[in-house]
Amino acid sequence: MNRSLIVLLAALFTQGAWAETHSIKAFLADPVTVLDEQGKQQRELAKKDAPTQPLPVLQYNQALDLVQVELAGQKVWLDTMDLRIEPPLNVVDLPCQGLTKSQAKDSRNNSTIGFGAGCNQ
Amino acid sequence: MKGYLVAASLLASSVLSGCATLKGADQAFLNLVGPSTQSRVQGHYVDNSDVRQYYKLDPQRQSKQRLSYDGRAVPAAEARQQNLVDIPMLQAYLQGIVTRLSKGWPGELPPLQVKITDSYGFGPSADPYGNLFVPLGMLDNVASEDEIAAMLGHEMSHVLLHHHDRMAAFQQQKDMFTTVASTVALATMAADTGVDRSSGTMKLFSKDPAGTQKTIGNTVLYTALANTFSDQVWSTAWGRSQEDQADLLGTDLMIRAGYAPRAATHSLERLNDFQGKQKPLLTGFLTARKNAMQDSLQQFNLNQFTKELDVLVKDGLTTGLTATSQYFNRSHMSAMDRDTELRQYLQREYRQERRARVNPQSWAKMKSTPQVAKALQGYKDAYFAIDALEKNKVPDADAFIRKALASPVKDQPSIRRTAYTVRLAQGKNSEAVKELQAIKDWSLAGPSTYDLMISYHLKRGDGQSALAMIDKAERNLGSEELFITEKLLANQQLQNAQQVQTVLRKCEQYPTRKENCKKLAPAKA
Repeated sequence: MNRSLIVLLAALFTQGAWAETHSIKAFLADPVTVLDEQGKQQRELAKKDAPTQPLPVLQYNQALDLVQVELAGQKVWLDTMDLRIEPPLNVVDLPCQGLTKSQAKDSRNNSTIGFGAGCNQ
Repeated sequence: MKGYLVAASLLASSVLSGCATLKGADQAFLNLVGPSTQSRVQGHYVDNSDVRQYYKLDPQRQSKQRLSYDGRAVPAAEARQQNLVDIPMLQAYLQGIVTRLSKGWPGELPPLQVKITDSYGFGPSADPYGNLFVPLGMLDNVASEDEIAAMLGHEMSHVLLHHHDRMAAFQQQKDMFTTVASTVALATMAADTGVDRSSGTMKLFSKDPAGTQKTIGNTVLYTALANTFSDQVWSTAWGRSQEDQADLLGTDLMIRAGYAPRAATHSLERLNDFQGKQKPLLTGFLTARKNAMQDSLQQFNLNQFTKELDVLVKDGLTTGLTATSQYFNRSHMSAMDRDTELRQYLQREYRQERRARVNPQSWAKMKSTPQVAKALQGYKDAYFAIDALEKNKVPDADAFIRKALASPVKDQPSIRRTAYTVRLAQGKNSEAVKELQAIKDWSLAGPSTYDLMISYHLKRGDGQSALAMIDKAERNLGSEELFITEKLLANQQLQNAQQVQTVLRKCEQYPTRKENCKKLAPAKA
């Protein structure tokens, strides 16, 4: 398996994982700025024209805090500041205190997504 | 409609406060039903007339606070509850962020001092004296210096805007919550202590030292876990409008200091996540704690005196449960609401600045500096030891505490206190006490750590040592009220009738302590 194939597979897998787990639940800004992958403004999108259904996130660029989505058949980048993404991108990784005598097998919970996921067992 | 809102606001004020002393509850309620604080602000919040009134410091207010802080007049409920953490390089780094943020404040600055606490909660807190408490749990989870700046800017804003003046009623609730733990410890000690009134003074003798130590040990364990939550639960219960104002001013300050304001929304998202994860734990904890306390009390053949305390404990727990559920119902929603409102403020007032990117490098570098990394790991190992103990995994707890005791922070109060709890769980009582005696700097210790040493001395009938430790606690925590009941007991042990009367008179000034003092007072000859 050559290197470019590995990169391609990794990219596809990553995109699939993101689309499965994260989606845009709301557009908070009006208008929403549509960007290129470097974060440069391409155009503006009025909130009334934005999708009302949850929009899957294809990729997340953590350094620029941008997410890639598909809008009207075109892949574009949006600033997370304009969006409400679920599950949230910024969460805490605090060990789950065993105060409830949890049935969890691990003594420590590393869950980073969801509303109390992993702790409320 | 307007009349309805006013009536609803008045009703909500009385429901939220439970008494007439809660200023700001009506504002908080109006904030929920009316336009948000953020949307009412025109221009940058820091320039608004609401904020300008705080540009100039009131020298009288400042000197009054200074006197309280330097002396011993800090009310027990305002004294810090946590052990402090001493990591000088990290401390200087955090203080540097506050200094940088302070330059954006156009007015006079009160003293602002960062202090790291041993809590694994996420939210920082501030006291009226300008102490900004940063929990280890926050440092463990933030991703950039910008995010730290957002949270410190928020806490500074509470101090700059005098929000503590409005929290009297919430403070009463916190007082009830924290008093419960010390009441149980006291009840346990009193239940195990014989009283000989034949000589006209109270003479204390221990009937079952091992049993008492075990019960106190359990209480200590639960209190240690409680402390992880107490700041988180109570320090942010200031009403939505105060939080909104602190968000606005904190964001203005961080932008003026050149930080990326998007970090403020990152921290609000994390706070929301943290609160969601803690909710089921806290409910379970309070139930477990209630049972443990009742077991502790039932373990002894209680006389009328301790039955009265039992009622107090039950009342306290009911209050705690109700208030806690109210808090979560309101504040859990508010973290996301605050985030949404803040983003709209940024879009309106800081169109360019809101696009700035956070810089994760400076924080990553600080966190990985060997001295800092080793110290933080030491604290984390101690935390895991407590967690393992709660799951009854004593060997795991022992392994974790051994690691913590090999770290550079091994002699700090929080680490030794955890070691004390582990040794008790192992049944090594004398080694447990040695762990406490190994604490090098008692100025870092919180009330519950002092409590252990004071109780130990009292149980041994060593009133002199108890008084010396109480004096240290008063000086370092700035509060005479915290240990006034124990001070009374120590003087009774020393049969110092004059001091007993003096302490009793002082105790009369503290509503939450005076009943206990009266009960412990010697019978009139």
